[in-house]
Amino acid sequence: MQARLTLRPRSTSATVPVRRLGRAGAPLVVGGALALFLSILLIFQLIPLVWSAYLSLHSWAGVGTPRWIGISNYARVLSDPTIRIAFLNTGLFILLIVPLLTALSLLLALLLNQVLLPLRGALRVLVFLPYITPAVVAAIIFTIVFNERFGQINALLQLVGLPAVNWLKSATGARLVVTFVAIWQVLGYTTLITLGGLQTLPTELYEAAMLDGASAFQRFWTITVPLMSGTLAVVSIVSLLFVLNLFSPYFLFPATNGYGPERSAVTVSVVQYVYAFTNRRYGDAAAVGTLVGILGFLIALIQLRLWRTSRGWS
Amino acid sequence: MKARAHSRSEPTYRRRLWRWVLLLVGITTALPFALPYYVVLILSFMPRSAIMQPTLHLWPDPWIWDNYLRLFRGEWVLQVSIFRSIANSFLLATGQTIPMLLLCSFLAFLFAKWDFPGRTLLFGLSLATMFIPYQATLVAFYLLITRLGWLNTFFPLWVPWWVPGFAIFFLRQYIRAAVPDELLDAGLIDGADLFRQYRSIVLPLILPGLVVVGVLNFVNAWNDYIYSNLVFTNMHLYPSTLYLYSFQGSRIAVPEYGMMTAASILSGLPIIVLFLIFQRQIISGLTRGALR
Repeated sequence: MQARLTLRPRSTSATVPVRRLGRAGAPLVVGGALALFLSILLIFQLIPLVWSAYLSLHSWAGVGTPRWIGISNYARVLSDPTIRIAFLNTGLFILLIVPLLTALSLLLALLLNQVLLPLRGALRVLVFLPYITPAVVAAIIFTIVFNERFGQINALLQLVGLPAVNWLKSATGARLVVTFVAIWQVLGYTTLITLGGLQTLPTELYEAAMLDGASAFQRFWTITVPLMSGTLAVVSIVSLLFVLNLFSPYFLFPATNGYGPERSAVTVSVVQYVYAFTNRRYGDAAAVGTLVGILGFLIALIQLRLWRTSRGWS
Repeated sequence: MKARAHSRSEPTYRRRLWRWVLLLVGITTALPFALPYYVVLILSFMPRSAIMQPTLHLWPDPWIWDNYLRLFRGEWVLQVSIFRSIANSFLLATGQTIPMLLLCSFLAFLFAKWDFPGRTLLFGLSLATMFIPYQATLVAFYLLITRLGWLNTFFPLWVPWWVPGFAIFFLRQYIRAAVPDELLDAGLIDGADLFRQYRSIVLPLILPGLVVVGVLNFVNAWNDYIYSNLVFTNMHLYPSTLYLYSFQGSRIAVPEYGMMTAASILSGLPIIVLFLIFQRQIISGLTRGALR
């Protein structure tokens, strides 16, 4: 087409492509694809985003004209006991799950990085399986496994002489189950991210350290941990976003709408869902959604920053 | 790293010892991941009364097929065979994934290799959507599909998901790395227009990338509950996640544990098989950090 095309430098890493779309033919396909792309973004992303924000500032019960009430929804939402507990629980799960996930990801990735590990490929597949298992299936598995009367966990505990635990019907037990299931579901994914980071570490450093007589533990603390800090930061942000979206209590405690015993397991994602679609409290649910949205957006921005810097050096 | 150094310089007996230690640690690690699947598998062949015995179950005793047969025949409050829900899940996930792959790979081709007004803006817009948490749009999304008359249709689970930011971003990177400019330029000289280039040069070269994005998207669509639950009230349209939840969420005194476990196996199996077929590409794709 254009003359400058053939004159282009051969370096393919140029960030700006030189081919101009105008005379490349297939205008209908190009126009159609771009139009479809834009309409989907506009109709299913932008409009719901603005509409939700609008609803969060109005009083509306599903019929009639929404009435402007300013930040009243937010004020009510933040003083609602269930929503408060949901935010507190989500904070608690963040404190429980994020550090555990980050530490376990590093340990598991170190194991999966050992060339001498038998069946290494199979183990990588196995630890990733829960990540693709439907959350409902995981919940069914663990409500049965953790059942206080006939669950296999309690059967095992009693076999070794320990007392049975009331996992799903006590507040502490419920929180432990939610924590366990969350880690079980996402650990394979965060481990693969960590494994990717491990594989970019320069081997020369380790060889030099071994020549200097550094022990395995010293090498881990002085080489692996500092060099992995970028990747581990990414892993903890990924875990943080995962916990912010934690919805599994909804499946684990169906009898209480996902709230759990004494509302011990209710998370912000669950409370928003129940408020919107069980109780039809659209304004309140939209306000919760906007709050979580702002929070998630900020976290994601940090993630982007970390991800850029962690890739910068490798 | 440790291991590699061992393998060169250390005597073989230490190497062998290290292998045994690793084997032991590996098995211990595998147990919490594998055992829940094993338990649900053996329980699915047991009657409810045996499942509810407070003992350790190592093997189905007695072994029955009843749980599966009752699911096939739809002997449950839904009165729908489980095959119907699995077929619905296939329809849902395929209708979401295949058009997504075609549209996103074409858009990624435009963003990667062509210049046009608004290119940076459009690409930035697509990236920005990745940073909107679903909770921020959920309520209005539901109201929107109600207004569109899309309840109890598959459209709300197809159309809005055809241009995910992660797919466009990933495929754009992939095309930049895998499709050399020289090949496209040669095609241009031969008079191939942009769409023919896409079809005969780009698509074949990015097939491995399409597999990774496609399988992950298919799995996500298959596992969706949050959106499907808003859309479907007609039980004949239930995808497998809603079908499963009808057991989990039912308020009957003694749940049908046998059918629940069998239904879990049947509705998890298709995507686990799909994942196992493509596990090599997906694991290495995720490890290399291509998708995040």
